[in-house]
Amino acid sequence: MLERIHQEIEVGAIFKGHQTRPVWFIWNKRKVPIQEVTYTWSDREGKARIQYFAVSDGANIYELALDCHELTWHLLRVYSDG
Amino acid sequence: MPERHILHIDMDAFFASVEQAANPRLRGKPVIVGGNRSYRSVVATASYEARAFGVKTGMPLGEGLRLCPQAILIPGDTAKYADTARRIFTLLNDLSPAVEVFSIDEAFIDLTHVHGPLSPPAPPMGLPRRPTFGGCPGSVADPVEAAYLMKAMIRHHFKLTASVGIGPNKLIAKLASGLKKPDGLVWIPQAQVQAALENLPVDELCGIGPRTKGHLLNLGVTTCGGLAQIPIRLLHQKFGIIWGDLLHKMSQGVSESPVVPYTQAPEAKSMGHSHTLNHDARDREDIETTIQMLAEKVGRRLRRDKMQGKVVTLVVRLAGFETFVRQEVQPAPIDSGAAITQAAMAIFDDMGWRGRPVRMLGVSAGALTARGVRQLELFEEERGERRLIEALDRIRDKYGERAIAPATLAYSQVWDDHYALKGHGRLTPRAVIRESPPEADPLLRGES
Repeated sequence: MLERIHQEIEVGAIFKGHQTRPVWFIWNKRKVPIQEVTYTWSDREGKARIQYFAVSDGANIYELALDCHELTWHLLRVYSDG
Repeated sequence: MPERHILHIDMDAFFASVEQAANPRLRGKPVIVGGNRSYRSVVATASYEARAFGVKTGMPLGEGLRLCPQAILIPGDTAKYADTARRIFTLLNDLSPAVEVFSIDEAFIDLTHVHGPLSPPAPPMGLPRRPTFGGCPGSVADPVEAAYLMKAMIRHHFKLTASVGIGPNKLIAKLASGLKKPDGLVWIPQAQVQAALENLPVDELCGIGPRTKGHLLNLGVTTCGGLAQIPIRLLHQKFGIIWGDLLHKMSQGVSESPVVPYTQAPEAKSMGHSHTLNHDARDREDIETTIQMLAEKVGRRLRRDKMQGKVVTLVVRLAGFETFVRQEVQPAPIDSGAAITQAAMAIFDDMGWRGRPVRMLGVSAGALTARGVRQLELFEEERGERRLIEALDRIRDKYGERAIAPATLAYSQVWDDHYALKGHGRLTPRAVIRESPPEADPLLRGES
């Protein structure tokens, strides 16, 4: 089931060189550990570069977006079984 | 002169495969990429698991879901596919400077002047290194080695498979890539071209569609071998000199079309957008809003490329798929959304619509010319309008395409539907409540 969320969230991430790797995020007052970044892509909204991450916590797939201009993170979508 | 080596790379079920790469839970399952289930769009791509049930690209979404009700429907995400394609084409560009982007999931690569070996022996872990050309002067790169390398790199970096065809020209390379899918690699060298074409149905060749196939069938021709037997004079009579000559050459497997690197691609002859409505529109206001949205997008693209259009074309598809295409030459080239809307609505009003339900609308601008030096608007009203357009463009440049829109559009369902499907504007909308006069705003003063 695909659920649209579109919610600003808090994310813990490692920035190394030009690479960004989210490692956990907080959603619904719960800390979700990221087991795997399954895919990344990027886009622009005006001058802002938006970096997208498809991530897995082992159960669900989440789509996160980092606004590289404002340094804000959003949870966009959740894909879960059922 | 060495034989040309042209590669055609065709990503397998591209959009669906990207979704399966991004979401491991979709792998091995039937996936359809299209619009939202409530939208009446078409199947953009189906995974091979869905294709096994007869789902095909371009068929109405409802039909696809009837054939494969268990399919998982994923709304398409243009940004995800476009960025993946851009990165794949960049990888291919490391292999050869001559990469022609044929579509979002297809490219031609000319290896004729690329020297091998293409890469050092595989590094530990069996991962391919990025190739370098010019590694061994004098020896032409082995096209099969190059194809394997490309496939391995794409699989490694994107978890995607591609089918590759190799031939002495683009026609044969494209034919070859379609012979074994998915994850195929087929080489048809010059010496084997005739044998490969002999019994091949004519419509397997790129460029021969249903209409030409029908005309050829009237001549008793069903295969390329049969087409090669038709005297060229007869082809000239039936299809004209240019198309007759081309058909004759195609039947021999000859194509002189060069691989044109995307940096040298010719400028667009027209720019347009279309939109399938969420429900059949019977209301003139809904139709006008949709046309306005499309016209604003066309105008924005024209201005970004510093172009103007002299011809506006409107496409109207009715609920029964009856389609009308009308165009009108404008008194002067235009590039504003408002002017394009006005021209398209004038065409619409002349069409004799009579309230019939409309399924899809398309607006395009053609006969493009460079805007070049800034034109002087004669009247104060025109100058004001131009300043407004330029200010709006600066806002969109800075904050994104959905940041600002005419009020008639900003609160319309069609605007929301369109951008929801395109994946834009997904982050928090940026809005500023203005309390200062416009002249105090650096954006409106022309500073960004």
